[in-house]
Amino acid sequence: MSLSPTSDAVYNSPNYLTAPTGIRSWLLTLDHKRIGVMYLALVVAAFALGGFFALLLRLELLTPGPTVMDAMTYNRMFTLHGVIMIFLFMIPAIPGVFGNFFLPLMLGAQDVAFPKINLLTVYLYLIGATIAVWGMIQGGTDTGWTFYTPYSTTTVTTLSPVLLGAFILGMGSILTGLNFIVTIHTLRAPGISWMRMPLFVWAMYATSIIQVLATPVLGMTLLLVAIEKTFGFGIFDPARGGDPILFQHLFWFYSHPAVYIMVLPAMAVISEVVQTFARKNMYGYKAVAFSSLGIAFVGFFVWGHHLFTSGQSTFASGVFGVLSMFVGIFTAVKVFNWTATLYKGAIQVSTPFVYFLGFLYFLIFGGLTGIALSTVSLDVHWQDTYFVVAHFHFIMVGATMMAFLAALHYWWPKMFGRMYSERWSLAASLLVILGFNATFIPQFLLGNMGMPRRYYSYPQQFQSLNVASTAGASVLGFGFVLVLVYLVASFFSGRVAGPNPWGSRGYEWDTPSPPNLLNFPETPVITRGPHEYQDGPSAEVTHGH
Amino acid sequence: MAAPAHNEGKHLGPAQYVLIWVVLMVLTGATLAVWKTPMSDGLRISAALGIATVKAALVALFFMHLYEHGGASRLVLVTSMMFVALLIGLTLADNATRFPYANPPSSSPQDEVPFTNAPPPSNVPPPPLRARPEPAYQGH
Amino acid sequence: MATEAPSAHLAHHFPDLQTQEHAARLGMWLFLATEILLFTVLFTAYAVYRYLFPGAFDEASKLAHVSMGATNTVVLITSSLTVALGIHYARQGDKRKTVGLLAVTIAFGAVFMVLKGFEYHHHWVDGQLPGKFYHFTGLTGPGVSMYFTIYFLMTGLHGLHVLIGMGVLAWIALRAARGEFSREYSTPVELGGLYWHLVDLIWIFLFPLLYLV
Repeated sequence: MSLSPTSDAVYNSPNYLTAPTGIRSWLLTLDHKRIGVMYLALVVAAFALGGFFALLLRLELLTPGPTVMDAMTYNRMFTLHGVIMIFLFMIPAIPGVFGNFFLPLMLGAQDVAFPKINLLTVYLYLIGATIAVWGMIQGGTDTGWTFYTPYSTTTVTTLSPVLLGAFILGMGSILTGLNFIVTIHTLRAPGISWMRMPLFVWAMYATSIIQVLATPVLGMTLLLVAIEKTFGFGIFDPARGGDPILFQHLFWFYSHPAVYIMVLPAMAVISEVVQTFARKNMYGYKAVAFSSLGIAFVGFFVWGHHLFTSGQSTFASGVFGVLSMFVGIFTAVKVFNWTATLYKGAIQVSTPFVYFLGFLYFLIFGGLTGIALSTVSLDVHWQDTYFVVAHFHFIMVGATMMAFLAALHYWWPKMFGRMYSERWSLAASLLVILGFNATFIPQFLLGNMGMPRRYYSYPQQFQSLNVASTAGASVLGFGFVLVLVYLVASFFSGRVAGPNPWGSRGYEWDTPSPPNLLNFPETPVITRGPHEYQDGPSAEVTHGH
Repeated sequence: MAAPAHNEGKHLGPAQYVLIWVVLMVLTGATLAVWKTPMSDGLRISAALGIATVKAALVALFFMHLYEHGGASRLVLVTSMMFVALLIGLTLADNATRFPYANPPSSSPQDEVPFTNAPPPSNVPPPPLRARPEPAYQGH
Repeated sequence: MATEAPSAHLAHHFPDLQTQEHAARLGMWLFLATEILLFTVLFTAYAVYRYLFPGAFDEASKLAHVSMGATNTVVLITSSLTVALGIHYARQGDKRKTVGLLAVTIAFGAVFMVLKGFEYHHHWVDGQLPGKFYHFTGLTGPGVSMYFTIYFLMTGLHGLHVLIGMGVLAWIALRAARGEFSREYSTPVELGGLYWHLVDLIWIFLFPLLYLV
């Protein structure tokens, strides 16, 4: 696995980006690294689209009455924003981009277990995304991304394309998870035992379990909505004896674990970033590894906290409320261990580390508000207000997006062989973090004061906070655009990165930047743990076979 | 190497497969017997599900080769069944413990609870309606 | 250290054929897990509505054709036997027996679908249809149409999977007839068999719950 090349020589020799050439070699590639790059392009485009709708929403909320659109359009905007952000970005992004790219490298494998299925998932994403977005725009879907019955089953607006698109996207998610699980079980190089796997891999493993077990439930549930809407079978229709809340149970059985599909990969990235930028191996490796499984497992038991005010029994609400608090324990384990890793580490405050700091703050803040929300008596006040909106944006954008950006900045030199401008990246990170705070802290206040979510208009006294939130969103959006600009610029004017610009001891850094098409000339044999910074740089890796 | 140990030599032969099939036929007969025998509803469902579980286990262990190999595959099946039980169990627990009229109309939990939507007769006249203030903006 | 040339079936990223086979099997089991969770949605709906309308479900299930359902159970379990035998002979490299047994399995699947078709036809004629289409006068009341909604959804989804399974097995039988499998490599037969067994597994639970209780 060790190749100590000079950066120029490596950069000029064929790597996965430059060989083979031609559009067909990309569209039909079986290489996990190229697939990761294609996912990157797709999810960034999706994020831009979802962000565009978010800005439209915030624009509308500048004034209490109509600002730039009418009420029906507003409903369509938040449906588009939600569906795109969740199904086209949050769920696939880190696994599709960084999971695909780095999982085999971190395991000493040449590719994932099923490369053809991997390629299939890219096309499932593309097809599902196209059908869903086209369906929403064409048909004016206004149910919100949650598709609650009975509105979704009785509305005249078009729903079936969106449901079909979501179903197809779900298939892609399932196959990605399936691929990763099998890869981790069967393709670890000699010397990489379960307890020597990078923590990124552990968290991706936990994510994949959720993807495989939870997504089919969503698929079938959305199919039932489509069937009821089209044929009138009345599964959720009280007139036929149906229970609309059954839909909510089935929907959230997926959609709550789904948020762990979003946040576990983020935590996966953070574990890697912390160890590299503190130059210290993880304090409490086993605790962090098993807490990922714990989150995945317990995350399945808590879906009813989305149903506290829907007519669910107080007994069930109590059970779900208490169980929801348990998930916080596993997250706390991670937070303590990451922080303990920093202690007496040699901290290097580069952009990925800045994003880690932002992540930590947003995870703790957002997570604690989540614990507060899991208290049934408090949730009765906050349910369906901006408090909840702020809570989940803190986790999804604040924590997960920060981790995505951390991953992007951490692994950019490895993936593309170029360094970006550190000055611009630090500036952008500050804009993003400050802009985020300015956008969503007012929303906690608004929600606590009673402003409902998904409402097109609001009482006059809420306007100043809404204006502040929109201003923050503009800064946040600008920050994201800035990130895109200097990263793209690095292709042209960034300095050539060597194989290991951060001096990381993660396994994936023992390859050229960018890696060759064939990951390893021969199967590596690993004799050290990941991120062992106390060891000297002696020959700890030998060529096997 | 990442491959787990297989006890490759212990693959079943045709005779054993036919034997399993015979047992499955007997159990199918047992299911029908449960159907015919008068017993309480709860017992009937439990018996039917129990027999089905045994049949499923036989198919999974022997026809699907879980007995012979697959530590990870066994884990996959067992974990899935746990989540099946979780989804069905907790959802049912909600319906079973709800305020009865939060369930669909005319459903069984409502049989025990008398319901009337007629207010009790009263000689007190209802309070007069108050005019609501105009909204600050025009409708859209 | 293996000195013989790697098998033509060995993909470049797998160290050996045994690992590749294990990976394929694990991958198939994970896919089966997703199918199980897919059906669980309908089992959940069944459980909830059965709990809410016990009388209606009790009476309505008497309208299901137990003799056809029981026959179908025997048919499916026997087809599981034949496909298991097919895999056994595939592993021994016996092409004729493999193709023959797979063909018999597919035939049993066809029998299942035909019987199912008869059942559906009877229900159609009697007006025992899902949701708003229910117009059987012999049994009315809250929850009755819901039984048939669940019945048609569950058996319909299951029937779809039987058809898919038949297609998968047909394709594998074609490959077997072309001589693609041998003692060394018969993984696709095993994977196809696993899918078929799942279809049987689901029916093992479906039959008593819908027809017998």
